[in-house]
Amino acid sequence: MDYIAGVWQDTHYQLIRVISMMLRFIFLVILIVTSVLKNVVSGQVPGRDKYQLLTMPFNQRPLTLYRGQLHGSTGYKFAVRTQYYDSEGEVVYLRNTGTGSVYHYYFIELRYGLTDFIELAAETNFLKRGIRSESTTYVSTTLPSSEQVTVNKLTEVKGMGDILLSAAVRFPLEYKWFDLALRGGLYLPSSRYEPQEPSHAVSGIKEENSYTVDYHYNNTNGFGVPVYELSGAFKLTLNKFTLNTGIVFSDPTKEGQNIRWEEALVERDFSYYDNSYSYLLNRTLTIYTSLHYQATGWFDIRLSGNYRKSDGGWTEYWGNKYSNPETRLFTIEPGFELQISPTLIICQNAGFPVKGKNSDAPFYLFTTVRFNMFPFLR
Amino acid sequence: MRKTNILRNIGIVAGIFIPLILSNSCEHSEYDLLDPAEAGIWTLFDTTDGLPSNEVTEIKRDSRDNLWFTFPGYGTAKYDGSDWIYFRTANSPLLTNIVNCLAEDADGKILFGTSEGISILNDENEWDSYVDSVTSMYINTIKVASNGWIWVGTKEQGFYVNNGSGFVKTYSETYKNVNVIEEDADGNIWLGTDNGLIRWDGSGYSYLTAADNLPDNRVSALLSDSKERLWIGTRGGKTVSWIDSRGIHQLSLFTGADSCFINDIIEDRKGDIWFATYNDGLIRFDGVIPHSIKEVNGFPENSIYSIGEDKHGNLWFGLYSRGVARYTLPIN
Repeated sequence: MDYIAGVWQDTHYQLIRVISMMLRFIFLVILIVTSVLKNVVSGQVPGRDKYQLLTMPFNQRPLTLYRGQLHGSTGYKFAVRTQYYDSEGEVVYLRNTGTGSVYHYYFIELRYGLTDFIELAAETNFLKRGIRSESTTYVSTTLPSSEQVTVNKLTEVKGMGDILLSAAVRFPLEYKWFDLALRGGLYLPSSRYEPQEPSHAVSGIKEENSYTVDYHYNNTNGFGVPVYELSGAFKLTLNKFTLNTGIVFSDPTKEGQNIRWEEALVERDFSYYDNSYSYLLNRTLTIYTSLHYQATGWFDIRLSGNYRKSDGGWTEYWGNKYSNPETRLFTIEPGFELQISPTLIICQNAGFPVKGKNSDAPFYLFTTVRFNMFPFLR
Repeated sequence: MRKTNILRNIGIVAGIFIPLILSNSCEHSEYDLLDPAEAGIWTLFDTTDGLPSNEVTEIKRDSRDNLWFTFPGYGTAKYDGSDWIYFRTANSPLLTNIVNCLAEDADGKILFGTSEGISILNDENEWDSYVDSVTSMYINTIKVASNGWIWVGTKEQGFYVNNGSGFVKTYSETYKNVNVIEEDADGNIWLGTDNGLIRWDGSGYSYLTAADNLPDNRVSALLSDSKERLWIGTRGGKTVSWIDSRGIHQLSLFTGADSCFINDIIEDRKGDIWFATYNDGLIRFDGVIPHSIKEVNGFPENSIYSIGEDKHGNLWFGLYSRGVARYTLPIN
């Protein structure tokens, strides 16, 4: 069985590598073709003015922006982490252990249409979350005894995420009912990714060996190494219905180095020591599909499904490299897009986890405000 | 003009994106990766697995990553990660089967401390020995210092030092029992006796006793850790002590008892300090909290002689009567 599993694992990696290479090749071909055709195909949006382009409903829009069009988006995701999926795919309810938490995710993105078929984009995010563990009290193994230490633990994650720079191309044909686009991007480490020194404290000292320890770990956001991302998207519109589906593949470009903090308590004061370790991020594959209904020209409702899987990475613990667990998560996302004015669009999605493995399963609400304009065109 | 524009566009696009497209992703799976499910696991080895005895007093790793075990009354054994090789008087020139401790010298020879002297095994499987021709030489502990000097602690006969020119005995009635020897980060040698600690700083001796805030005079375990602390375990103290640049500190092991008998101390790769006790189980100190591991937690036995570490960082515990327990460190 181990042999079969090993062969399957190797085949799996080879398959992913081939898909990755194919995506790169297609991307390159489309880039060149698009560049060549940019000046050959003229008048790609015949008979349309700036106002028409700005107010174009979702089911008439291509997968990339028009030349000179700028989208500035800012978003906020509020997620409630009340459960996770264990290694067997079983749901573990965190309210039972008192370790539920929320997180706040802020997002900003700029997209610009370089031509009618090439788009440049940049995005980053800011994450803030705190996971408070259930209090634990340690007492002497022989009772009665006054020795008692209560431990509270707060793991905070806070900080800027990496910057994703990407470019997308679509086939150089005016969008009627079918579109295909490919996007390539690179996450560039832009922020401090090593965890900052913890800020533990001792409180509630009653006797020599009776007190409370408040652990406070200060973790940061970001991958720590450049991660490339390739994706393909497909859009099909039939009257008021649109099917939008795609695949996103990301993989780290190299191994990373990080640190873990170790603490020592001496006379009620903490000393901290850092130990370095190496790691390789998992490669990640995301497949999404959404079905849209254009209720009116300014209102689109949608139902999306996202399947995300990651594996292939490892993390060093105490001199040994351990495989990262394979994670999976399938989420259903109902949502809508509301065009308030030609320059302002609001999107909102709610995420409901359905199935997973080794993964947090948060419910979330993601609201995005998008500013839509042609800043350099009169 | 159009041709120029086309070429320019190709140039811009290619210049920006081709490096990205052609960038190589990281190669995966080129390592022997361990399964996370293998972490945090206890495994017991005993006579049913072929060990000559279930009493294991010492566990040490040599420079070739072999693990060595001593079995009082049953000789010694080498474990290379897959096979066990046993040495006893019946199949080797070992002085006696009562082997209490061992160490590796600067030349890679294994020194076995026995109840009759030192048996020495070199790389070529050739044996030698050292015995005191005048007095008995029941060896409790052997330490090879970073300068190559060999320090030997005995029962009732003080200690011996070999600086390369032969063993020289040092004896005083007060410090005749030397239970453990350790070298600190500054190169000082510490000898734990039944009447306190002796420190050799390279030029002379100084002494520490319960009057200097040691938990007890009967020092039974010493460890110099990676944070330049010298840990001191005793046979009767309520706490364990450590010495650093700020002085002597006390740590309650949360046993709740008035005294605790520490047999061995080790630091794992994670930085946790482990204490092997008599009758109080194992205690893992994570820097803040001492965690008790006893029979009630599923550990085989509450009395542990010694702790060793293999090349993977797994901890091996020599038990009084249940053999050897191996523990792979957890990954969180």
